[in-house]
Amino acid sequence: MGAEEQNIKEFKLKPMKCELNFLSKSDGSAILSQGETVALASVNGPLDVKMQSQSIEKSTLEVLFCSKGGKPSVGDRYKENIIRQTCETAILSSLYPRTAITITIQELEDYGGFLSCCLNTACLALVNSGVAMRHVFAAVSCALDDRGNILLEPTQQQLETARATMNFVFDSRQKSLVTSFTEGAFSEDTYKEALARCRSASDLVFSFYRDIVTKYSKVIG
Amino acid sequence: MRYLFLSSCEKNFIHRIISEGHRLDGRNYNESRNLQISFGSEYGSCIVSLGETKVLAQVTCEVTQPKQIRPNEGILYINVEISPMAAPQFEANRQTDLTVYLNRLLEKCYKDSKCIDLESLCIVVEEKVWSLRVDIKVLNHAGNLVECASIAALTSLAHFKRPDVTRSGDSVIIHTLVEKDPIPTVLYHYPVCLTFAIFQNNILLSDPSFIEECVCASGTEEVNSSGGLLVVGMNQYRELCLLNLSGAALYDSSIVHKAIKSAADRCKEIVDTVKKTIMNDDTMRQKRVRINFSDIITSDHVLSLNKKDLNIRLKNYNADLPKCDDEEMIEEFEDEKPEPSKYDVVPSLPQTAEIIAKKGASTWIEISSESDED
Repeated sequence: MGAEEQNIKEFKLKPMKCELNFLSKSDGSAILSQGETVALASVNGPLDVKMQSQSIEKSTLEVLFCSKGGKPSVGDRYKENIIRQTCETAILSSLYPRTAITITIQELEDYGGFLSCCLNTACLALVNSGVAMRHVFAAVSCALDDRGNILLEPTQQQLETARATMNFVFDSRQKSLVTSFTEGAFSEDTYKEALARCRSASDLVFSFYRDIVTKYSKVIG
Repeated sequence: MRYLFLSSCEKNFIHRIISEGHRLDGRNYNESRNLQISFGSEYGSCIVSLGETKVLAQVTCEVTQPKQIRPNEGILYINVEISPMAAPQFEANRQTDLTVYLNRLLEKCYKDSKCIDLESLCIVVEEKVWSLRVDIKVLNHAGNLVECASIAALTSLAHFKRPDVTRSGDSVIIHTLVEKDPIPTVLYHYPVCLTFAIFQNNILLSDPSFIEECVCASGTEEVNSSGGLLVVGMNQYRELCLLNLSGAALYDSSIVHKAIKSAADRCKEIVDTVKKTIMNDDTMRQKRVRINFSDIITSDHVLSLNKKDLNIRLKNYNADLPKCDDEEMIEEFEDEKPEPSKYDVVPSLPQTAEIIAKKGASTWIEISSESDED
């Protein structure tokens, strides 16, 4: 545990807290806080699906993102798209043909690094629901400040002054890149450095997943 | 909406145990589930859970033009959303009958009862007023959404504070929360909607669970007299704000009186809890304690299935804490087990047990059958 804490300090990942089975009606659900950012995800599936969105080869993945207040916006659709594409690579959807799996994500608190928190929550909820997956995935975000320093898991103040933000999602097997989305201007070298640092930081997220799953799988229902 | 069907077997069973004086989760007829309110970091955001039913409410405000007929009044807008998160049978972005029903009930309860001082939301007559928007998101639908959503709406409205505004000549300055202390919403009274399930036209259940809500309105072959759901809206002064009956018509008006009577006490209780939690939250915020939704995540309550605890109470079984005479038996068990369990089975509600992660050594409790009637 001591070494782990040191690593966290070194990488400056925000403290994570998670509870599985937060909701009783969903097949799988998880609430995750990374620092002050909190998201809640629920997974239902495989369920029956409307004819027009049915696929005979694989299950259809539906992702719904709900913001906390106000009207749904284009930004929400963008988040849905990223989460759907990331989860599609992870879920073994060919095992559930002619069905649908729905992931619903609810924003609770947004203090920076929200999208990566959503992705991690979605992954934990998928694990909790027992849907077959190729691999689990971990999202890590970082920001580039004025002086060109790379800040892992930036806070909200850091994000406001940041020159660029980058988000990476890695799979658990080869730590290969699954999804990457960036904003702002940066050089190719900076991108590579940020990628390498986020990749090593993703180890912490995976070990957190492992802790959570071992904790929950030992309990008798 | 994908429909949810209940078998006649289930319906008959529920009808029978209720006519015998029992409920599935072991409550009395007029006993409600546990109410919990937690706040987020912003003003006017809260999660209210009533048993397993969970609702998130968030109030936001913006400056808009007032309505022509009411030029000096602010606007209150209530929006209810039920996403697939609440239960698998709901579809995304689809208005269901339940959503419309909930929205209308809450509008009746909070807009038509005039509990909010809308005139205080006016900035410039006929030009600028505050418009409050209450967004209610159902997180988990385990019965009695009306009550849970109304408590959430009330709590978030009472908790909400809008930014201060100064007028100098024609210009209006909206101050940030750092510049000037925000202003709380003025509430004349605190109305709450309560749901009662009427079974077989004479039994009144307060705070019905999901299955009780589904069953109460439908008759079966065995039971042909059906009941319905009665929603009573009442404030802390025992004044009636709203009545709504869905399901079969009543032929005995005394049941409504009975419902109103028990609603009066419960409303007082709820409003007191809401006021107390808001007071506590306020003093915490003044001490600059950071309040966040991450506080509701607990790591000492571990479950492997998505059920909080056994939600069916067994009438003839009792979970007792170990007594001294059982010590020998405990030792025997511990010998058999190479690694002591990290989790404790503790009795929570009467006749229920749940598993809780504990750091200390495990203790054993005996689950014994008291009667041998079979």
